Amino acid sequence: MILNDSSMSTSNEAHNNPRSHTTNAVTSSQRSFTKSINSLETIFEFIHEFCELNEVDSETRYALDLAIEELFTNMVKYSKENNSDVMISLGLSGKTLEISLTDYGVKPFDPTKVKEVDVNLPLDKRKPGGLGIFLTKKLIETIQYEHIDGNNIIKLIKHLE
Amino acid sequence: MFDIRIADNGEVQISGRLDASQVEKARTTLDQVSSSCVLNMKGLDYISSAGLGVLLATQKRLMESEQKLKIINMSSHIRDIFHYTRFDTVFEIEAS
Repeated sequence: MILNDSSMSTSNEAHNNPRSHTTNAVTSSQRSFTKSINSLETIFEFIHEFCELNEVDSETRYALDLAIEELFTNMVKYSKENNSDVMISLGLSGKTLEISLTDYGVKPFDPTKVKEVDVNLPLDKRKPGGLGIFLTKKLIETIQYEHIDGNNIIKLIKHLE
Repeated sequence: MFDIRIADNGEVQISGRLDASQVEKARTTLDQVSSSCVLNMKGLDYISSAGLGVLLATQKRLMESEQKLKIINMSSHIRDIFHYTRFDTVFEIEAS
């Protein structure tokens, strides 16, 4: 399943003081975002700050933008029973990027179980649905889903070349 | 900053970042297109599945009357997205 959403209206504390930790080997940052499509702009800013700090290449940055947007927007669309902020964390350890999105107090929804879209259908048979998770799987090596204590947690792992 | 406009020559010019928060703006403009035209992606840095959906719906609508969008000035990252989703078989894309 896919979750997503971030927000422009995350708390000021979260926006102004993102928790960030850097050592020689590990960099990580996390921030919470209002579960709204309008949060996308601030989510991208968060991702781009992290990528700039860690000199992540533009192709990988595109992959992060797309995967996180797709998962977050799914959370906005399909997990409406709770308006709690969504927590997004980004971490880089050596050449391994680890991303997680946590949607609090919601029913289980596993984006990895979404039916695979058939991209080889002729135009008149094609529908836009399902492309988000399809692309996420193409761009990110590993997608893991857990539902723990009422929270949907999606973890993405991508290895830098 | 996402922007979409129809130029005087009929070309649809699209730039910036087309994410899920901008699809209605894109749809509003593309709904005005009723015949074959060029979709100029110069300056378009990003598109997600939401944007792809709007483009697909527009192409399907135009194809019903044997019209179509032709895409020019596509970036390498977006070209990869079109390749993965086989959108490069749905749209005519001018090599850049």
